[in-house]
Amino acid sequence: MNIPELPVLSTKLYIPQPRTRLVSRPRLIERLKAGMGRKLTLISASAGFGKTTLISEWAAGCERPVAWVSLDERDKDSLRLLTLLVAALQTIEQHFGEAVMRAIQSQPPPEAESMLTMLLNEISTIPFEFVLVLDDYHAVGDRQIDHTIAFLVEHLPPQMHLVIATRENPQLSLSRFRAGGHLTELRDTDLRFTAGEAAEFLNQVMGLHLSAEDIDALDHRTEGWIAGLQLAALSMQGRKDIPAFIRSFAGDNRYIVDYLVEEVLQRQPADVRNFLLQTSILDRLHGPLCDAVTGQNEGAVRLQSLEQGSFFIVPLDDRRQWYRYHHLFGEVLSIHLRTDQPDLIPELHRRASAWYGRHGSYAEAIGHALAAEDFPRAADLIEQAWATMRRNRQESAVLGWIQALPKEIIRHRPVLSVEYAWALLAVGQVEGAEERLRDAERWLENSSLDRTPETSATDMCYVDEEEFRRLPGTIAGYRAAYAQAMGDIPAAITYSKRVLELVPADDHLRRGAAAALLGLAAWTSGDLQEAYRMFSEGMANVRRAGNISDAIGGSIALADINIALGRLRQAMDIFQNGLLLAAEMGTPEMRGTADMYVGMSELSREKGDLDAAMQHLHRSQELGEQMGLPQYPYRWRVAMARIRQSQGDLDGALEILQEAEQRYVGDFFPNVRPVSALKARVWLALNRWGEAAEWAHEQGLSTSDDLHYLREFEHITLARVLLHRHPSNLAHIQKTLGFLERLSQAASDSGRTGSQIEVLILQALAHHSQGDMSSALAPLERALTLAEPERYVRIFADEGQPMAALLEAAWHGGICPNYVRLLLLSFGKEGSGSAAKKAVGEPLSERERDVLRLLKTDLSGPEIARELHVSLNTLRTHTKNIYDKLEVNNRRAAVRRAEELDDL
Amino acid sequence: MNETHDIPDNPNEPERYEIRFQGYLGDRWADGFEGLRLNQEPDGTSILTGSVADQPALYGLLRRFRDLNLRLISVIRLEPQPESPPEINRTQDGCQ
Repeated sequence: MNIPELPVLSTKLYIPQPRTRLVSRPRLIERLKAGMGRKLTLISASAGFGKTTLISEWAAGCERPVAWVSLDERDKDSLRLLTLLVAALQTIEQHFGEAVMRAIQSQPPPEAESMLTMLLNEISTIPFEFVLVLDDYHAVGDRQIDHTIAFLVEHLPPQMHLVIATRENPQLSLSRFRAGGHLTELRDTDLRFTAGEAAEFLNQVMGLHLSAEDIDALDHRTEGWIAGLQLAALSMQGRKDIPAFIRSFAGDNRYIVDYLVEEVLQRQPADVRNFLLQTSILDRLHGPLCDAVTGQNEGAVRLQSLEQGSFFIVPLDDRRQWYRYHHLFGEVLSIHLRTDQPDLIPELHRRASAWYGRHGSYAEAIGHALAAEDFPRAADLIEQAWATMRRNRQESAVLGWIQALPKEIIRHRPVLSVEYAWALLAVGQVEGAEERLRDAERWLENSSLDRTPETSATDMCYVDEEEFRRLPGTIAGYRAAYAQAMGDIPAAITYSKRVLELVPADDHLRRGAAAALLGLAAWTSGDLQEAYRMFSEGMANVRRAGNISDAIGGSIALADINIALGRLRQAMDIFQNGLLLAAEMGTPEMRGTADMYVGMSELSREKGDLDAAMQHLHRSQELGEQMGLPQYPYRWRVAMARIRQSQGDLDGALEILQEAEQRYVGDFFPNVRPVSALKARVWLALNRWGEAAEWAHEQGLSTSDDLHYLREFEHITLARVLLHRHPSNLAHIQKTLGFLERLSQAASDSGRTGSQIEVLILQALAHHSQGDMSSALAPLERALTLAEPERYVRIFADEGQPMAALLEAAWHGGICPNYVRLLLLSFGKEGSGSAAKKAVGEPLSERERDVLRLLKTDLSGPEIARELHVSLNTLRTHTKNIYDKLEVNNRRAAVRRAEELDDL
Repeated sequence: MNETHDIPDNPNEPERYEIRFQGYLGDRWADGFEGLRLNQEPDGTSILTGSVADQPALYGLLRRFRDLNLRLISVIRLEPQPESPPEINRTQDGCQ
């Protein structure tokens, strides 16, 4: 038998069709139409006042397309609400918001506000006017959701009109909307049936032939409450003694629904009555499901006849396969069920759970098993649902289910315990997770040893043998991820290795994750060859497992590792493959696409093509931050700052680096190129030695440090600071050269060619500053030889004038002539000349140093001039030069700056 | 400690409320209101009395009135129940 899949989403987006037998309400429809020019229509009225019926009647005649969402308690989550909004808008505009959808599904999702902005931007491109209806808004209206909707209304593009139907006012600064003329409101008083409407409903729609007096009595008793009148009509159908019924109803103080439902139920044959009561445990009604619960047949037919009989039953699709009771009616039915057939209720839930379980709807099956308090069955189902829930990252739902189970049940189930640990880890509750993993391991140990009476195998419970067999690998995987998150690298390595030992070759996802973790650990420790090997193996597995988004994210790490290894071309290939992989997933772009462009921009910059570098950055900006991974905001800014620096705009570079520093997030990657070190390099280029020196001091950097890859970039930066500080002091230069030699050796030993080239360049520059050209050319030649195959440009060009001089010497000496010519050509471009001038900076002359020394004393200007045997005018010229070189404009500042520099 | 009769000293102690609304609910509803006592008054109103665990529980209760379209007339917090023997309270306080 072909049973339709439970259509949760589509039934929530289904626009209820107006009933054929209906009281038309032109006065209200007119008000709704008139309100279309405003932002918001709010229908705020109590249960049973015909809100949904009214909007669906209006929607059927509305000239604009209408998108509809029926909300319920499960939608009380901003992300889920956004998903529903996008899905609803897709019913009127195909392919709407697919990028937003991907952003929502990525992990971790971007902030709600940024996704809302994305949604609003996309709405503003819809080429027609339309309406979005949020029905039953009260079911989700809490602070967070109200905030989301308030933001939406506040920034609503003109082509959209929002209709909210609710039982209580949302917190949306309604008075402001009212005052601004942005709001149309319909409330209880507006929606009540007038006497005329009550008469039309009872006599024409329901076919009762009531006197004016009777109608008046009913209208008075129900106060125009539509649900009350409809129930009254139901109880009167086929009745002979209608006036007597109305008299007794009107004279009774009982709750209208209570009174009337009892009347209605009493007048039904036993099978109909049982059907109504027993199916009240269901959120949604479907013929075969109702049959399974009630033990009757022909459920589908019964549902249709109930609908035709106006039995407060609402169709959820056009094919009349799914229905639900009107909430109020369903509620009262379930109260009656509880008093009339209390013992049957657990059995009814068990039947519903079995039906849903047979059809793979785990969430519903588990919900009913829990309602039946059939905990072993619920536990079985939760274990079976694990794979699906893990894939869809629905850890919160799993947590809710497991926490509804008695602790004893969980403890005897190793698979469930590990599932529990997974959900706890996923929501960040790490402490409880460890305990659950240990619970599970207790069973694993016992299953291989002699079983003690307390823990015999009969006590142990699990559903899936395969899942149980895999537990050791699964547990090791979670332990590895946890250790990595806590920064415990040795433990992460130990557990990741265990995973690779324990997990079978075809379990790509787990093997991939473990290999990637080992890659990260190797990267952190500076073993880049191993990092590359493990990381590429990991990513290949992750991709094989179909986890494309993670594979794209891993490209960044792989490319970064390649760049450090001096393989620019391979890094470029990785980014381009990342883009191809994303493109295979179809439009729109996947999250991570923006990061690929940032990486390509950095590589283009290094190769000297600043135009292409800018274009890549613009492309990534067009895609937007939402298409970037967590590190995107920081990486984009670093890339932009380095382009600015290459263009000679040092102040601009510095400003962007400040922003980058604020946007930095770790995201598991080692921070091998800290923004603060990049800033120190720009300070050096600006001749702001004091700040660069202060940075080195704060970082606790010293030439006698042990060398470690994690600090390599900072150590190279320290060498730059030292070279700038004492360009003419031979002892200092020798010391710095010794340090550079150690750095060069370390980089060379680990194959970090990228780092090695930079260190060799600094060695050449240091010799050059001593006027020792022949000593300078040896490291330069080595650097050129290493850099030529990959066509590095900016690593040389960014050094400015001294490098130009060195390269000219190399050219004359016939060293790598073709490559050197190419490099020299790049010096004329991109304002690097001016950058070079600034970058070199002029050291103080001997005479200027003498003046500076005396400026530190209390001597006046004329006294200093006398002391140095120069005229006052000459002294002024010297001090002006000193001020210029130190970038200060008075004596006290010059002295302070000089002292800062001496500290180094 | 329990000498003030205004606000209970222990904010975790359930508070007692009296909720009056229009109309009568049948006995079957008592269960639906988490064990609170339902009384029908001669003036056509009903009173629901009993302990409410905390404020969220109270708001949940009020929401049920909203969902059933029952007209609320008043919500009153009651003073601590006189029949709960004060000795016991004191002993408990002494233990803490």
